[in-house]
Amino acid sequence: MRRVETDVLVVGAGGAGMMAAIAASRKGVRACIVSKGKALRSGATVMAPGALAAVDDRWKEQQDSKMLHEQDTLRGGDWLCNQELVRQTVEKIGGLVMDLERMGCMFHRTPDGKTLALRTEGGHSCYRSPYMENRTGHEMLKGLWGEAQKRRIPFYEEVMITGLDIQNGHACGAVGFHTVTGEVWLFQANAVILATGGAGELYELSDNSNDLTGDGYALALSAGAQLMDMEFVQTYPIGFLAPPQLRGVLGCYPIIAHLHNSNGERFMHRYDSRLELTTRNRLSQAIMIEVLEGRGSPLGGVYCDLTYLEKGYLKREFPALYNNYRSVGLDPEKDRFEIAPTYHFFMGGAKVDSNWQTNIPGLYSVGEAAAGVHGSNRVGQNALSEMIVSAAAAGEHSADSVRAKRTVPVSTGLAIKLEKQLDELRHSGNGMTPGNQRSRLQSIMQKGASVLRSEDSLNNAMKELVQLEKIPVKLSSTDCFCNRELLEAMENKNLLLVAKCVITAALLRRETRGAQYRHDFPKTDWENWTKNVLLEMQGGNITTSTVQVSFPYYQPEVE
Amino acid sequence: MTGHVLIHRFHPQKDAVPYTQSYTFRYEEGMSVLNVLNQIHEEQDPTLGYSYCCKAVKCGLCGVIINGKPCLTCEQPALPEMTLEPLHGFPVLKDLIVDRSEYEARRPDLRLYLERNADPAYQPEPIDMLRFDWFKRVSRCIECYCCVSVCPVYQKNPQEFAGPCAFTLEARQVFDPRDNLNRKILLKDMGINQCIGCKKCSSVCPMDAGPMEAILKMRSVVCNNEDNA
Ligand SMILES: Cc1cc2nc3c(=O)[nH]c(=O)nc-3n(C[C@H](O)[C@H](O)[C@H](O)COP(=O)(O)OP(=O)(O)OC[C@H]3O[C@@H](n4cnc5c(N)ncnc54)[C@H](O)[C@@H]3O)c2cc1C
Ligand code: SF4
Ligand code: SF4
Ligand code: FES
Repeated sequence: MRRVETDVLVVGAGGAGMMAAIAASRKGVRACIVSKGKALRSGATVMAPGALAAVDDRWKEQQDSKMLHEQDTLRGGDWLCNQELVRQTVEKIGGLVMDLERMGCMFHRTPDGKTLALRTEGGHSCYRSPYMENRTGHEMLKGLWGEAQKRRIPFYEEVMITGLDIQNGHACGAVGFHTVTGEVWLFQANAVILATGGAGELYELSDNSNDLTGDGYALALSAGAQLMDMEFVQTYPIGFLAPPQLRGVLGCYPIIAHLHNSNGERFMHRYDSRLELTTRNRLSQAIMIEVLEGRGSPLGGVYCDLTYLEKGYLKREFPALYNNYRSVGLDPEKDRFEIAPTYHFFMGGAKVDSNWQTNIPGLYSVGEAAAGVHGSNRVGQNALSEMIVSAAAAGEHSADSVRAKRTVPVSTGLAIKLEKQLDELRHSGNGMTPGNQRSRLQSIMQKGASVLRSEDSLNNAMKELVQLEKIPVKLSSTDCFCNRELLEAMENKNLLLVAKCVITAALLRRETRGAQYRHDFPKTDWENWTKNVLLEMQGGNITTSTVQVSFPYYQPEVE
Repeated sequence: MTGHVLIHRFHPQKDAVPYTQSYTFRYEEGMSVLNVLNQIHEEQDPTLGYSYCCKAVKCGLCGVIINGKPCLTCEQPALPEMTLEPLHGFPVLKDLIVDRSEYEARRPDLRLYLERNADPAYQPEPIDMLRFDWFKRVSRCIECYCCVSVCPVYQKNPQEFAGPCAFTLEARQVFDPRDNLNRKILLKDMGINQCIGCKKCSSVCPMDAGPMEAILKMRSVVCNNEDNA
C-alpha cells in the first residue's frame, strides 16, 4: 500500500484537473493530481479540436457581449441551466483565457498577428471563440501542464480512484489502485476535487476516449453527493458510422455539412430554419427521426455531403479532418458518407454550489464531472470554458477552506477493503469477461437510452441492465500486473451505476427537452418541467427528487 | 476474409524471453490495426497487452511497429497480413506496451514551460506570425515516440542524444516568441549537434510536427546565432 498526503487532492488530469491544481497551488497550499490516464494522454480535453467560447472587450466582435453569450447558453440549455454558474462562466472566461496565455498556451491570431482569431459554432450568435488549429484542448493542456511542472505539482498517473473517504460528513481523502502494478494507493487530503470527465463509454457509438467511464459520477453518488441532470446526454450529431476505423469519431462540423436522407433530400429545412446550424440536440433528433421514419442510410444514419464545397477548401481550412478522410480512402470532394449521432458530452454531474462544492463539504466537482452550466443541452465550445472557470474557482475555494481545517487521519480500512475487492475479482469463478460485459452494457444503452427514448425503451433497458448485473464477471488472468480486465471490471461497476442514473432520470422526466427526446412525450412541458432531476443514493438505492430551476436573471422564453 | 497477425508477446513475470504469437481475425475493409487488436482482445485473448486511449490520433499511446515501421494503431489501416512489435528503444512492460516513464522522466530537465522576465504589458500580445508558424507546427507533437524508435542516433546512444521527440517539445519553447530563456546550453546538453539529419523521424511523424526540421532550425538559430527568428 502507498500513501500520499496533501492539502487538495485533484482527481483527473484533464484541463479541469490541471487548472484546479494550479489554482490551489497559487494560493500556497499543497495540491496534487491523481489520474487514471496519463497527463496529456487521457480524457476529453486532449481530443477537443474546436474552440472555447470567451467574450472579452479586448477581442470581441462589435455586436457581441457577455450578455449575449449568457443568453445563447441559456437558450441552448432550454432554460434548465443554473444561471449563477452561467454568469460566473461568461464573466470569468475572458480573463482566464489570458491567464492561459500567460502560462504558455497560445491561441490563433488574426493574420496580422495583432489579436485573437475567433471561431463560432451552432448556437452562438457571434464569432467569439479562441482556438488553436484543430487541437485547441491539446494546446490548453500543453500550457497548463507546463505551469504545473513549473509549480512542481506532483502527478500520480495511472491510478484509478475507486472510493472517497468521507469522515464526519467531510471529504478527506480517496483510495485507488495503480493500473499497471495493481498496488493500492491511499490519499489523505483536506479537500477533494473531482475532475474525472464524462462517461462516453456508456454507449456503443462514442467519440470519447476509453477512460471516460463516469467514475466521478459514481464516486460522488456513492459518497452521498447529489447528481443532477443525468438524463441529458449530448450526442455530437455528425459521427462516422463507417469505416470501422472511424466509427464514432467526429465526422464533420455542422458549419460545413449538408445532411441528406436516403431520398437525397436535405431534410433539415423541415425541422429548423437554421438547417444544420441548429443546436446539436435538434440536429441529432432530426437525424434519428429520419432513420426511424424509414429515410435512413443502410447503417442506420444519414449522408453527409461535402461535395458542394469549392475544391481545396477542406484541405486548407480543416486539414486534420481532411487527412482523416483521406487516411481511410474517402474523397470528400467526390463521396458522401454515412453518419449518425455519436456520444459526446454529459450535461449532468454532481450538483454544485457557486464554489463548485457538492453537498458534501470539502468535495468539489469541476469540468464535465459537474452539472449546471449547460442545462439540458450544451452549446458547442462552452465545455472548455466551463472547464477552466469551474476549476479555477474550485481550486481557489478549496485552498482557502483547507487552511482553516485540521487534517483528519485517512481511514486505512478503505484500502484494506479495496485490496480485498481486487483480490476477489481476480480470483472470481465463472462468468463473462469484463470486455463482454462492457459491450453488452453499451448495446443496451444505445438501444434503449439514446437520442430517442420512451417509457418502454427505458424500462426495457433498465430490466436488461439488472439482468446483466446478475451475471458474474470472470477475469482471464489472476495477474495484478498490467491486468486491463481488472481495470475494466472496476470501471464497469461505475458504468452500470451511471447507466441506471441516466435511465432513472430519463424516466422521471416525462417531456422532451434539450438532449432528451421522449417519443411518448414529444412536447416541452413548461408547466411542470422547468425543474432539475436530482439523484441520491439511499440504502443502496437511487432515489429521485426534483427542484424548481430559479431564474434570477432571465425568465424562460417559452416557445 | 481471414487476416493473420503475428504479435510480439512478453510477460516479464512469466516469460524468460519474448515469443511471437499468431492470431487470425475477421478482416474488413476500412479497419484500423487498433480495431484488429480490440477484436482479438474481446473475442480471443483478453490477456493481450496493448495500449490506447483516444482512438483518434490525440493521445500518442498506441504506437507500435507494424511490418517494420512505427505507426499509431488507431490511425493505421489494417492489412490482411501483419507483424506487430513494441516500439524499439523502450523497455517492454508487457506484449506491445512499452514503458514510457523513463523517457517522460527526462521532461523536467527540459524546462517545458514559458520562461519570461515579466508579464506582458498588454494582452492579447501581438505575435510575429513567422515564428507563430514554427511554434504551431512543433506544438502538434503528441509524444507518440514513433520518431524516437526510428532515430539511429538515439537508438545507439540514448544517454547522449535526447531523441527527436524531446527536441520537438523543446522547440515549442524555443520558437515561442514570448520565451526569454536562452536555451542554447540546454540544447547542447541534449546533444543537438549529434543529429545526422537523416529525416527518418520526420518521415514517420503522424502529426507532421517536423522533428528534424525543428532540430536543424534550432541549430542554426539558437546554436549558431544566425538570425533572430
Ligand atoms: C472529441 C471531442 C471533442 C470536443 N470538442 C470540444 C470543443 O471543441 N470545445 C469544447 O468546449 N468542448 C469540446 N469537447 C468537450 C470537452 O473537451 C470536455 O467536456 C472537457 O475537456 C472535459 O474536461 P475535464 O477536464 O472535465 O475532463 P477530461 O479531459 O475528460 O479528463 C478526465 C480525466 O480524469 C481521469 N479520470 C477519470 N476517471 C478517473 C478515476 N476514477 N481516477 C482518477 N482519474 C480519473 C481521466 O483519465 C482524465 O485524465 C469535446 C469532447 C470530445 C470528446
Ligand atoms: S534526423 Fe536527426 S533526430 Fe531525426 S532520426 Fe535522423 S538523427 Fe534522429
Ligand atoms: S515528433 Fe511526431 S513522431 Fe515524434 S513524438 Fe512527436 S508526434 Fe510522435
Ligand atoms: S489511441 Fe490515442 S493516438 Fe492512437
